Amino acid sequence: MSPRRRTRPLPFLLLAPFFTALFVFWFIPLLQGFHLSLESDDLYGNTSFVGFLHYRTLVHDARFWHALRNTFAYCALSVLLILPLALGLAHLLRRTYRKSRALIQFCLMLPGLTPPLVMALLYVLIFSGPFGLLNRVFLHPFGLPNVDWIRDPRFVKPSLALLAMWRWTGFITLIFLSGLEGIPGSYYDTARTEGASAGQLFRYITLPLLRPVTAFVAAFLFLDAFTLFEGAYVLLGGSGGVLDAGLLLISYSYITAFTLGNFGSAVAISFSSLPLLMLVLWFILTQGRIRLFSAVKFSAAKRLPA
Amino acid sequence: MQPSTFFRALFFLAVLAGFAPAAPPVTIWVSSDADLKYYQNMAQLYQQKVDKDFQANIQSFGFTEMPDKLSLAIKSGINTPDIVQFEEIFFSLYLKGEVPFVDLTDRIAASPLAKGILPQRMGLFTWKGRTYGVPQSLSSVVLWYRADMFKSLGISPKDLSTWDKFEAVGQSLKHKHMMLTAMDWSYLDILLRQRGYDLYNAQGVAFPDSVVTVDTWKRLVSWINDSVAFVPDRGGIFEPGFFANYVQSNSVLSLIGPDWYGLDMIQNFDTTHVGKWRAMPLPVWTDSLSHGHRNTSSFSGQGLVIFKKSPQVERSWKFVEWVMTDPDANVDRYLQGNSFSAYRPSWTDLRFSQPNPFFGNQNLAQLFTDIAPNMPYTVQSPLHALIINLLREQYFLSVVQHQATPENTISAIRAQIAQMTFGQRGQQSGTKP
Repeated sequence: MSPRRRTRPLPFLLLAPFFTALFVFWFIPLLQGFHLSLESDDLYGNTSFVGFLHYRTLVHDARFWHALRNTFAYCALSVLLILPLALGLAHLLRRTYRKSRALIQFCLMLPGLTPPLVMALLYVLIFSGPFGLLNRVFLHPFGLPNVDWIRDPRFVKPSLALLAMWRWTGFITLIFLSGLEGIPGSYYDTARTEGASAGQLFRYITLPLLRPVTAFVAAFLFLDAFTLFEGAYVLLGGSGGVLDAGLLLISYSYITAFTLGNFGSAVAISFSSLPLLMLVLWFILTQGRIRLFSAVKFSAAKRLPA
Repeated sequence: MQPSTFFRALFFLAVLAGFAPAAPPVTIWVSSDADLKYYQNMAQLYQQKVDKDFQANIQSFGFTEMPDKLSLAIKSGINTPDIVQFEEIFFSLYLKGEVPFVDLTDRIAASPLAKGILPQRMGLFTWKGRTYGVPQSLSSVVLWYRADMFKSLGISPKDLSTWDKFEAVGQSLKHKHMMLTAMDWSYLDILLRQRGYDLYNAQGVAFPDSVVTVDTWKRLVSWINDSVAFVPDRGGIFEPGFFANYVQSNSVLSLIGPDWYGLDMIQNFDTTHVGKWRAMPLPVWTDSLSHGHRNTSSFSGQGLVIFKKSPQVERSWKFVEWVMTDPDANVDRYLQGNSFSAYRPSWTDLRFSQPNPFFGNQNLAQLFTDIAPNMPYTVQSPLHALIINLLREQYFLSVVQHQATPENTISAIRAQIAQMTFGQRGQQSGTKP
């Protein structure tokens, strides 16, 4: 009979401050917020318990569904723009001289270090007007017409996505670079010996082995886009813009709380997106599970030409 | 009691009184740095003139951020101010249920403010017959114009006596690639009120005069089509970016705005054109739909309210009453480039006649007092902030950019308001929809 392992208290003691802080500054406010969502929207004076009335009201709120659609569309656009660009840049970076790589990495980090509010203010200058930087440098020289990036409903979400792209591409590139550096070179050597092309190496070795990293960055970008406030607030003045083209869930929650003074409803908006958000994140993160040996065995032995 | 005991007790009480804690400072929240400076000066002046023990803790927040902080403070009950100076549009946010500000009706009735404040302005902070705030500014709307550019283009203010003439002058500038004015959503509010109508009424009906609203809106759209006016980026003329990008580069010949727009915003944000701005009464409407031929309108305006749960209500009220009625306080507000007072007895102060070098030594105070009797009456409603928000953030630009018609937009706004307020009626105090 094997002796029972004694549970050491030390790990729990070391983790206790973190979990205490998490409990006090996250869990308790979360519970209080949920409680607020079950109360009436009286700003002043006594509130009363209304149960799930705010949540039921959202079912018939067209603006809420519009904001939800906008938010998911914007999140998907951001992720789909940034991921391939960052991966491509990481590949190129691997091929640069090591001596210059540090400087390039630092430059790539800079936008990610800039406070989002500052970046949004800069973007007002870039997007703004017919003589904004974006129009003047990227459209006018090619004879393309001006785009009203902030006021044309067709371009509002792409503008927000471009903002996210500028902010995170460099940072995500470095994460991908770390992921690429972590792939054993022997896999590539073996595959090359078998006659694999660069495309096949990328498709059957690099991509599968980068899945955990890709899943992580996709989840990170999705969450960041979902919780974006500064960009929309500065570019659109805290509103949804023309025809609510840029109305995100967080903007709608803000408008409900601070423009309409309905704090209970605003919290309900935030909580109502939680199940869907958790589902998306679960899906992304489970896609990142790597089947290492099967990936290598399959790509090296089954698909490559003889 | 022995006399010696009595005097010993008296001495003991006197010593205790000397150690009694002074009243805490009155906390005042204001909406701009200009107001911060003004109220700091006023607190000192009040201390010198009226109450030597008066102390004020004045905090300034951004114009749109302050209502956010106030909502949070009121909802949580934490760090609430005593006095708040804020915009009458934001005041309407607090009219849904119990109003969180002190009912000042009886206090105003017993003070010089009752007869002193221009009657057209008293409605700003009045709801269901009770007054909760005192308006700080007259907010009479004028046409601010660049006299130097008018002169170079051969435009005289007399050429702009009616809106038809205004449009004709604007159209004549098309070939010179200049626009007579820049506009935003506030022009719909201003011009509608000038015509004797409003975006809502006291009964809480949105767009009660939709025919006139549509007509006014279409008129503004025609200004864009005919190159009389343009809408700046981000759709606002109240932003520093607008002044930096358009005003300072001489792209704008005139702007429609209230007294504080010129005194505060133009003076502070267009420092390159000192001496070149002037003001004139608004062009008048001459059509049959408009009531009268008003040469002014009103727009927005700040005022002072007292939070209901303030522990220093009386002290706060005394300060508010003083700052609104004291001659020096009224004059300083104007001379510091803030706003022109709505308190009529102060208008006779000769200091108001001081020429303003920024506006080419024009006697602006005289202009404001001349047009004040023509100002429209303003009513308040919980719908006010809702309508302004929807107009400003969503619908005004969609109409001027031809993505929607005024008629459809009015219907859409009414539907949204009905949905929002229907939900609110059900969501307040537990009553089900």
